[in-house]
Amino acid sequence: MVARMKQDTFEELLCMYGADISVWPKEVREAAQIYAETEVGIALLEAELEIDQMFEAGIAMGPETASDGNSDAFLNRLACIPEQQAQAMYAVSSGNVGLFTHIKTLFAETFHFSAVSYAAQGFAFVAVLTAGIMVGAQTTVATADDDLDLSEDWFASASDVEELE
Amino acid sequence: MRLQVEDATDESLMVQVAEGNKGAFRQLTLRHGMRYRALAYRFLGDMARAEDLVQDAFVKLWTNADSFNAGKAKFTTWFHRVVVNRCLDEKRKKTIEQLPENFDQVDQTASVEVLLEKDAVGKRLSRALDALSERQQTAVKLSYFDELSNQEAADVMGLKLKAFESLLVRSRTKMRQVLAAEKTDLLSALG
Repeated sequence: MVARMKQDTFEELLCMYGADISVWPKEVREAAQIYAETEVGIALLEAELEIDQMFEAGIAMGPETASDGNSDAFLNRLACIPEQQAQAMYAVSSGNVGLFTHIKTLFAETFHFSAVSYAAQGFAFVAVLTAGIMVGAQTTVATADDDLDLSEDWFASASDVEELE
Repeated sequence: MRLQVEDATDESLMVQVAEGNKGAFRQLTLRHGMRYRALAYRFLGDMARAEDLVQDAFVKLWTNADSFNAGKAKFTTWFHRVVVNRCLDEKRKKTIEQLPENFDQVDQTASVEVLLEKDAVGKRLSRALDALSERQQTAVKLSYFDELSNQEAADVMGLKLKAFESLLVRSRTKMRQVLAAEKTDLLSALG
């Protein structure tokens, strides 16, 4: 007696192994075959086959088959990267480039993080600094109007004053 | 030396690239340049942008080859991840940018969408893919169009195999629902 397969299980196996039940794992094949003959099973198999056919059509119309004629030019561009980088580095070391290019090349060659991440760190630094200044500015300090006599702390007692006199 | 480079695995070529071997770098571009161009094109739908993006990824590969750990990762998985992440960033960036003045003119470079829409099947596929989330689309593209194994695609997306398979199941279920809804709409329109 084969255990009845549930729709969820059938759908999951369908997605995993495709619409050809003969290639599904042996232990589920028989139950799947029984389910595939139900109305829902037939509809699911048809829909799955349709998706497979669409993917095949999509691959056939993909960029690999597109005759853009630029393939060789593109591969040449890639192959030239080491020379271009060497030239860029030479230009940087000889000071023969603009400031922006210089910084950009430095980021590409030297640093592990992108320029954006360094900018974000800079922004965070400025934000923390600004917050610190604002908090400091709000702290209450003595003003000229306050009745503050610092001289009262100059001497430990009145006798100290008398001694001085 | 030439034979050594041609026969070498991608991972050993990367070790040589890290030492500044231009021949090893050239070999990697010959082996994989077109594949990654196709991958980027599927994500971006624009050949010029796809080429620029892949070129930029190869520049990083040349300048930061030592960041690749040949003992831990497979080159294609690692570089797939680099290119896919860049594509997703580029797509997100593009959607928040303003449309150019001539955005409604026909693009001379045939995009994936344009190619697909030449055919009714392609149109339906395009619509079904559009209904998927970004992660689902990525899973489908890696698995069915780039023909990676489930394990490779899971590694590229940084997922466990089971999680990737669940993602694929959900993607196909969603696509099936979209197609079924289309059929129902069509039948009701026909009365």
